[in-house]
Amino acid sequence: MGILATGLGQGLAITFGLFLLFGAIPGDVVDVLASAGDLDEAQQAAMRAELGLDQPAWRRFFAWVGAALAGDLGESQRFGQPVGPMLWEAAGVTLQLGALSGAFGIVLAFGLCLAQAAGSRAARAAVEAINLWSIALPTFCVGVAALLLFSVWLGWLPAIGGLLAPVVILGIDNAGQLAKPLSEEVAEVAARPHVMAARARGLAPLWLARWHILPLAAPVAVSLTGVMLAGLLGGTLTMELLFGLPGMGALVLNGIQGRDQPVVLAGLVAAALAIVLVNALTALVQGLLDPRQSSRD
Amino acid sequence: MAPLVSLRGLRVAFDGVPALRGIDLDVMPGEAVGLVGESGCGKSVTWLAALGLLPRQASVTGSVLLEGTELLAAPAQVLERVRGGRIAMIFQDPASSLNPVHRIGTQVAEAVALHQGLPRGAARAEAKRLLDQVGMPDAARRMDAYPHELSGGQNQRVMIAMALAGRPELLVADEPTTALDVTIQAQILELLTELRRAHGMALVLISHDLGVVAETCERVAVMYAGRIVEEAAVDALFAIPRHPYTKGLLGALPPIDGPRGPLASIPGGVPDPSAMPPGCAFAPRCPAHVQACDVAPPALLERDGRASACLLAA
Repeated sequence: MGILATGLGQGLAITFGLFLLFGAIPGDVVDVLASAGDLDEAQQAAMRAELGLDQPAWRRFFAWVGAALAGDLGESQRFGQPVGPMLWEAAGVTLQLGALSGAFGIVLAFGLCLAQAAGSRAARAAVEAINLWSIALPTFCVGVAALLLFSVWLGWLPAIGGLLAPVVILGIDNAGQLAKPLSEEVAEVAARPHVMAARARGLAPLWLARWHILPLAAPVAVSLTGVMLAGLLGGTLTMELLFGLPGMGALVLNGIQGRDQPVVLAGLVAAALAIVLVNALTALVQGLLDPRQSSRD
Repeated sequence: MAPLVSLRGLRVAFDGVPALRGIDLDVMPGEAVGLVGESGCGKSVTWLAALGLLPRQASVTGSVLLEGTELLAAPAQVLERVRGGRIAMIFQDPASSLNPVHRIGTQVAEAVALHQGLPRGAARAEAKRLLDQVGMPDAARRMDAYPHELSGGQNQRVMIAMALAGRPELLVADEPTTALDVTIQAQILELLTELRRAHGMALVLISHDLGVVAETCERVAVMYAGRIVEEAAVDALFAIPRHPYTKGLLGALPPIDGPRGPLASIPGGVPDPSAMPPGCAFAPRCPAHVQACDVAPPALLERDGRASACLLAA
């Protein structure tokens, strides 16, 4: 219950913050439309009144929140389409990219660390390698290189709309950030007395790694997985733009360029709520992993 | 009778620094041997080395025979069957020797399933029986407890139950009562003796506490700086210690009656393992030191059924 209330409070605060931030951007949608055609001052004022842009920020905020809670995200001020379906479609693309690359990264990081816990030195070296890779190479650089290599020169992958390259690039990037701290934790747990005692009972290395090392090393990685998944929502943006995927990142970026407040707001609030949800889930999983945490609460 | 375990010339070095400098020790089936010495003398390292449990950077040489089978060069699968199956080990701090995130019933059942090949349900039933056998109060309910919910003595009982799961021929107990209260200490030692008799299991009791060894063991080996310096039946050793180090240890025991006085101690300190004296390692602290002591480390020589590594041993 505590987690839920905290999450709700955070969601509301973030929404209001975003609202103020958007207000701080110079110009609004009327300016954007006016710059394209010929609207005179009176027409612009009338348009602002119609869209409610002449109201004070707090009033617009509550009007928007009220409508959003009732399920109405408003209409795109630029395109006149309802925001809900636009968001839904874009979220599908982003979720697919995020879920696939997140899963790939988690499986890769935990797989390597499991092998390391079972005594593989090659796995430890691989962790170092992907960690260096993820620090040294920004995903957009790798993305451009991958486009050139696989799409332009080799012609193996489509240049637009393909999921494989962005999933692998984001996955390795995430695995690198996740595997390094997990690997250090694994090395620390492996030196604890209960692991020696378990080895002295004749347990095989892989069993030992799975039941007596990894579960104790995992809490750190679970917190980091939360951070990673949250970061992934931003990380998908570059991939979406680079690989021509019509996702949330692309939607929000276009919305900002057009000062299309309802679209931007809905997109960012959805992302923020997703992050709040991920954090709550992280806390929940940690409680399940370590019985000492839940009995302490 | 042939020994169950026979250590010959067992040497261990960590990064070139010697920790064990040639251990020869036999353990007969069913007997209780005490291994005594101050911390760092190699008591624990001896048995971790024998079971292949030392980290990779440790170099181990010599011979460890388990009924004629060499363990030192044995493949991992052979060692895994020996560990817990023929030679079990329990450790000093029972609370940290258990996995903190698994229920104790699960952990005991895991050992049972591994060594007896029982399916899940039968393994749990056997785990409960073992917990009863080691005197865990209210074992059925405690199966679902986590280690942090139990006392130190109860956790050590869990460790012993797990050690029994493989029906070992030898139990190596590494300072099993050091972390426990005195009253619990006595109970655990009594339990170990009882189980040893009931199962015909040999026991190696590693301890720095001479009193504990005297109560529990039939034979004692005293270690100093990586070697055995004296070995004898418990009664003989306590009655007439031959090695000056053993004499010093016994002299350092506080008297039970009489007025309180300053505790006796052996002057000096243990030599630095990377700069051992050329002769007897105890020579720099020895009250009976003569020039011949500094020539070479004296061999562990047997005389009237006991052995000591001292030129002057009477």
